[in-house]
Amino acid sequence: MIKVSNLDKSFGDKKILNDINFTLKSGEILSIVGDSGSGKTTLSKIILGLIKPDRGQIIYEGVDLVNLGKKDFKKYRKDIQIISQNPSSFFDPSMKLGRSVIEPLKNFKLKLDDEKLKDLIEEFKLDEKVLARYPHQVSGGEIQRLSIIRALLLEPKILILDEPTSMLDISVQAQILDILKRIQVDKNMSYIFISHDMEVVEIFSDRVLNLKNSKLI
Amino acid sequence: MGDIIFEDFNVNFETRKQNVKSVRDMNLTIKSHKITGIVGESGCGKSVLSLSILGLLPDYAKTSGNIYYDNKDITALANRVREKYLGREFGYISQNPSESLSPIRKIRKQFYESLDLVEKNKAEIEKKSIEILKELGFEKPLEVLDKYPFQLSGGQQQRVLTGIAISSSPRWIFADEPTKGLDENIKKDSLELFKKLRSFGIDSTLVITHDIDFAKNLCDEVMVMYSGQIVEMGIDVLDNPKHPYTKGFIESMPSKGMKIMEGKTLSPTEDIRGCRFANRCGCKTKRCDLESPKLYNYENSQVRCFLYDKGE
Ligand SMILES: Nc1ncnc2c1ncn2[C@@H]1O[C@H](COP(=O)(O)OP(=O)(O)OP(=O)(O)O)[C@@H](O)[C@H]1O
Ligand SMILES: Nc1ncnc2c1ncn2[C@@H]1O[C@H](COP(=O)(O)OP(=O)(O)O)[C@@H](O)[C@H]1O
Ligand code: SF4
Ligand SMILES: [Mg+2]
Ligand SMILES: [Mg+2]
Repeated sequence: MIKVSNLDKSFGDKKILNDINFTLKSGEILSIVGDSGSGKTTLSKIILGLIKPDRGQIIYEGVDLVNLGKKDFKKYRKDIQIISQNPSSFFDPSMKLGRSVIEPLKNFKLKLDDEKLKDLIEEFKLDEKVLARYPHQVSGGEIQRLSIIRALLLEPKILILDEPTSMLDISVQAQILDILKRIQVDKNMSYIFISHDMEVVEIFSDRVLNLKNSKLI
Repeated sequence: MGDIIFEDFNVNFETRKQNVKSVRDMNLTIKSHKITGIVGESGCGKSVLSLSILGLLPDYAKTSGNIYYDNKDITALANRVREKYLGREFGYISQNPSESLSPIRKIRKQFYESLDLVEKNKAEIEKKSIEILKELGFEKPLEVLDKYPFQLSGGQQQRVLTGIAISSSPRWIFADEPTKGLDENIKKDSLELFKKLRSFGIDSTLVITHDIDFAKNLCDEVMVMYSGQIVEMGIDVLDNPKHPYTKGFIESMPSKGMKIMEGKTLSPTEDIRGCRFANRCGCKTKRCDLESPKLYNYENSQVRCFLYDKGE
């Protein structure tokens, strides 16, 4: 599905990622675990094209995403979505959530399927009324679920989940991971699941890689 | 002295189209000189409850009832007076570090602002910031002081925020998910740090957490919140849950196999006559739809459920 090879990244003289290699297979949930600050989020930002690596390749559908210009990257942008560790930074504080949630669809000139949005809201145990509010008017867990819905509306092929349940209590976490798994199977999606909860990782994923001392093993 | 006492306290967010009741009829004492934990479902009102103590609710939030602190109703104080409590009496570690840390100022500046409340000597301030960052597990505190928040990972930001909050030695610390985004090792450090907050002059703590093991290891007392209300509180709630919600909640821990609690929480905009957990409860009886349960004393807990009503 996606093949990452020989990836390096430093911030200043600090090497964060050192010769990272892995392949994400189609229809699999690959977990990446690692300590806080080990570079997990940095790695996902590189895959999304938000940060340029110092070296390396990311091959998706035969194309190296690293060397694509902004315009060409856009073609693939819809296929690879992220659910960020910090969901509120992805929502415009001056925009109602209902509008923010469908904003990416507009960017890709896609039409909103009202039914689908409704179903997702229901599935993720949210109250439809949150759509009429602004980001600061909902709880941490609510905005995190909205960010999942927003990504899923685009029907991506690959979803990067960066600690997607960090703001959820354990009971909602169990519900949400269950739904995410069901959707992944239904739509034959591939997930990169970033977490440091080993117990959750073991239940949720097919394969686990460990990011340690800038290496992925 | 120092207890926080809620009396018939409610928080409503009223807008043109909806009335969100986030905290409902709260009658509760959060004891000083203790570490109290609040756990509960996402969206049940934990953060709003702590923001109401801190006086940080938005202007359009309507509150009723009282919150007493040192025999004063702090909800009746003028904003100007109430602001003075922040940093000196009440330290706050918010749920969202990137919102509380200013993105355009270095960590050093933000530390200094907080320490400035208690210490004017520059060299002392620098020394103390470094000391605290070390305690928090940063190996190179000086480097951290020279960074902007975006140059830190989520977990690092969380720890910096904790450091800033405790630096002014307030009497109370309110921490909203202080371990979010921390890996196991740093979580351990964080647990140790919270255990010894007293050495920083802080002797009362309220911690909101989704991390059950953290709460178990840290807290003297735990409160479980659901749909705007405390449904259970006591000293061994997490080991010995009584309320049907708490039981289901504990079962959904990853270490117990993440069993799923079916159903959806009542919307906070919805008022009903009976128990707010009734639509999901396996033990529900007729009475549960007709009457709203109070907190009943049972063994060493208080439980908001008719199963524990001994008709006293
Ligand atoms: N400013 C606001 N205006 C309207 N509704 C709000 C506002 N702030 C919070 N709410 C609502 O009040 C309820 C309680 O929110 P709160 O942030 O206290 O939840 P929480 O228990 O901290 O949840 P989480 O664990 O997900 O952070 C939620 O339903 C939320 O949507
Ligand atoms: N823009 C940046 N400039 C400098 N350092 C950064 C930047 N972004 C992240 N870092 C550093 O890189 C390391 C990895 O960060 P990150 O990928 O966010 O870690 P995590 O594994 O917790 O997601 C951390 O030490 C962090 O401080
Ligand atoms: S009062 Fe009734 S519905 Fe509510 S938790 Fe107890 S048994 Fe269940
Ligand atoms: Mg991260
Ligand atoms: Mg909260």
